[in-house]
Amino acid sequence: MEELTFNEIISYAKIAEDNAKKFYLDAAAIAEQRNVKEFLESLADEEQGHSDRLEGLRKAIQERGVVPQMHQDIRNLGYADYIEPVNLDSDASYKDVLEVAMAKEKEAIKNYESFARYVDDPEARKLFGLLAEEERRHLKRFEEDYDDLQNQYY
Amino acid sequence: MAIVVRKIKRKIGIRRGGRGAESSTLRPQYTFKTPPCSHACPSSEDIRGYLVKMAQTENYAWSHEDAIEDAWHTITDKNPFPAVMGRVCPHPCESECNRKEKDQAVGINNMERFIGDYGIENKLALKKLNGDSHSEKVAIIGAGPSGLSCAYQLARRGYPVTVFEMFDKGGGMLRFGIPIYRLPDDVLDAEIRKIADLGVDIKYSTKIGRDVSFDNLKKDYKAIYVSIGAHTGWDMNIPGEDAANLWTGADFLHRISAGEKVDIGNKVIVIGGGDTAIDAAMTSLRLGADVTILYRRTRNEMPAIDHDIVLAEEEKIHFEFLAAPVEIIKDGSGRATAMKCLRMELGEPDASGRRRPVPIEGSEFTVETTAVISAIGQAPDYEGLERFKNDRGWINADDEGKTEMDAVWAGGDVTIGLGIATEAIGLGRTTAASIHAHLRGNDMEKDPDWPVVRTDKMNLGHYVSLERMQEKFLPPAERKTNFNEIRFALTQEQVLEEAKRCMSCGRCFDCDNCFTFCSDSAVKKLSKDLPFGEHYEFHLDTCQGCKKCAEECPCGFIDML
Repeated sequence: MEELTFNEIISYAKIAEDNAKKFYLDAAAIAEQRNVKEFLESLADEEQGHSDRLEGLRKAIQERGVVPQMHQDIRNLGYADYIEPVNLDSDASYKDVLEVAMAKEKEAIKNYESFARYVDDPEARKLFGLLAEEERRHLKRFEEDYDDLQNQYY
Repeated sequence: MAIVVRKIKRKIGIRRGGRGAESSTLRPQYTFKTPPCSHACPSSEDIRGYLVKMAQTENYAWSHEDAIEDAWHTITDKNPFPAVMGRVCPHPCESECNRKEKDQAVGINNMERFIGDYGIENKLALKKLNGDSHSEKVAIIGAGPSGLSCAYQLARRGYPVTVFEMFDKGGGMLRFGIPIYRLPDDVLDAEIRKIADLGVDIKYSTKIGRDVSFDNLKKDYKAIYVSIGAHTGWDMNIPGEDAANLWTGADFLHRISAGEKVDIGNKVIVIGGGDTAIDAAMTSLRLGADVTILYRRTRNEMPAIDHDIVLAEEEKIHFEFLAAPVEIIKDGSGRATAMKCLRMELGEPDASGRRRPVPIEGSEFTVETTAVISAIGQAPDYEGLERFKNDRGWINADDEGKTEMDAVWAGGDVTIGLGIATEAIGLGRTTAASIHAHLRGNDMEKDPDWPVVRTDKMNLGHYVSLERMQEKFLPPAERKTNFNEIRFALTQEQVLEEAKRCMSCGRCFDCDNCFTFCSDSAVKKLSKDLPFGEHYEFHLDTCQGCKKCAEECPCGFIDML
């Protein structure tokens, strides 16, 4: 792992984002609820946005030679720790999509955090940390939407 | 005796101001306004109308009984459940009452209860609006407050109405979600019976979508109102939730209401901060358990009615705030024995405006339990009606209750997402007006859209401060071991006294101030046989626009235009 270059790390992350985009588009194609379909399409757009941001990060690192600092500690709400998402089918609800999205973000965080543990290069570790932080931010947004939806009376 | 106002110690004819004191081009006009109580009431009850009439009995030589009976008919014009709502409504009317600015809000809810009970005891019957009879059959799915309200409003317009109810009794969440110590069954039964007596056919134990298909219903009825409520408790989605001794609040209260024996042991944890959590906790206490309510925010954010929280506190129910469950720990037989929880702290406000609880890392703790009741929210049961469910789990309906399907309306919890019963009743009423308009090919009749009068347009100095008649409750020691009703009704004397505290905001109550203060002889008295608000008229040919009448009108009925 220590031999990974920044470019390779970013490329890996972009592939993950592109896969996520494809996942949401496939789910949108079969979803019957108009709002759910639109929500899934918006998530696919967001994954494209993440991919674009990674490309921007690649350029920034190439120009400045260092990985940007992480900004803040993101505190998640913990739903992704125990919720088991259902498979998204044609009957998928907004809640189902949020559960799947939280699980995917949680998995991405775990991946980046484990990569960070296995690399020796401090800058590469920082980059994985930065990517994990980005995913944590996405997860927090989904968790808050889920909390608003599912726990509005609680 | 009337609404209690200060006596104006001035003989008619010796008028303050005098000609030439002040004049303007403005002229007075009596203008009906909406009182804030009715404006805040989701059922739009004419609260001012019936309270003023009760307060004015002696002025108009009505008997008290006539006034109370008239009040019952005034309430049931909008809401066929006065005895029920007089017990369970969180009374947003009182929260908005202008009298708060003077001393205390008028005790509207207590009076509604008394009037409702009077209607039951005296066997008062709901009235049809007129002698019309229509042939178009209407089906209502669900005999909860919204469905029965809609059924009543359609039946009184002359339609044949059939209500399909999946349970063996009516009332919906009023029966299966509210314990009998707050709402005795016989009160609910009596008010449902009055609706049935009007000709509404209620078919119990008949679930549309299971026993009768929705498509068949659509063929047989010209209009359908879907008011299936939200009877299914939400899951917490945590490990171990399938424990045999874990129930949702809705399921638990339903079982108790249906007379089932539920083995909860002696140490119950109730999760949630809403009305269902409080009801489940107080019910568990009455079954002999030591009860803790675990809530993830603080008392300030609890959505339950504040007074009900106070009642639970009085009964020594424990509260564990800023804590949330993360796992149910079960024994070998699949029963919950403990619950793993996390401490929380409040972060930024969420979509509800309340600060969002955020887990504190490493704060895990475990509590032992003999039963868990999760009361964190409820959802509708869409079996056979899946086509109506939107992406958020509710049904889309417009302002008139129309769904996207032709001739199908929806309302109540299933469209508003867990509201209060009076909202459901209000939606049932307005939807009935929409269905009637649709079936007759007319525009929907709407309630008058008068401006709401607040105290800045009133003259509170004219009203005498009067102490509010306070209802009494069974002492905690006497109530927490049984299911006896915990709140007592006011007496008739107290109700008639309390009615006098209504300030008749925005509508004339014959105080004579405009007549007394006018120095230009521009106010004429008319016959008291005319409706309220029409007992005076302005003769503007002599008016100088001094504004005295408007300034001295206590209730804000006069505008200078």
